[in-house]
Amino acid sequence: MNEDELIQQQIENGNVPDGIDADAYRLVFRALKTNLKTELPDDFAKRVSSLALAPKKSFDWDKFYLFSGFLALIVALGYAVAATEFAFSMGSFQFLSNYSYFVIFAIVVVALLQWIDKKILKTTNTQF
Amino acid sequence: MNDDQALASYVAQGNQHAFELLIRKYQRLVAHMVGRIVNNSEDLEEICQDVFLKVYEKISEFNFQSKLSTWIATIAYRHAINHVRKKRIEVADIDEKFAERFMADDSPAEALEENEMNSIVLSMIEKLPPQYKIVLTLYHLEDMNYAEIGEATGMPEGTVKNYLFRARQLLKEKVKTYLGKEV
Repeated sequence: MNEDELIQQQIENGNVPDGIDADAYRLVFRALKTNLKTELPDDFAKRVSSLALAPKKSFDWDKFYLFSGFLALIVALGYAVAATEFAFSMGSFQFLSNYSYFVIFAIVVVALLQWIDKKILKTTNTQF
Repeated sequence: MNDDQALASYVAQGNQHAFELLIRKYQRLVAHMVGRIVNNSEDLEEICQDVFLKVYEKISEFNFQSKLSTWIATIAYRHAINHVRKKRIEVADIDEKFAERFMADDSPAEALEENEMNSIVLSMIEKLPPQYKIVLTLYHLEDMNYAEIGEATGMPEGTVKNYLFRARQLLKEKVKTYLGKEV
């Protein structure tokens, strides 16, 4: 057992020896007994217990409304297309069909830049 | 049947009051575990909440092979580690160079009163690697023994002992540099 192990053991047993090492250890052991400032809110226990025991939703109304809205939109769109005899056209963007390879290339480059950006951000680690 | 067994049994039966009591009893332990690994205080509460929801979900499977506190600490440790992994925060391995960096860190020149020293030692502890902080916290604040800490963190008992000894020794060396300036 080296000197440090001995002093640590002595302090744990309540016997603080003399010397600068022992003094330093005494301060360390005292600080280690200090409570952390990681307090949770006063209502934490009540809130979490209520959340855990809350009755499970038998039917997810949020999803139902979202799906219904989406369906209504599709139906309305279909009706509007049929009623107005709408024919899809590129209109003013017709000229883009002459540069289809360029458009595809631009989309790929933008997507690639986004991907590289995301990768670089992810690999920027925060060390603690 | 001890208190924890009775409490766990009530919680498993869906007793909200019992679960609230269980949370109150162990929220300090969970906050300490998570707080030692996750520095962001906003994430702390969310992770602690997830830990207790997992405790509630799994408590009927808990068979008291270990103490309830150790089991809860294990869940808290895993949740905190998973959180930092998800956020891609690197938990650095502990190497000899860490000790050099730790010792080379700035120290105030002026002499310090003991109560100021306490704050300084606490800030030194914050600079230790999470593995050291967890072991120190469970041992000194939660009064867990080596075996319980090993069970909670998945570290071998020898590693727990080594980390505890090494972390305290590093802190002592650092404190000595402060004390030296007082003389």
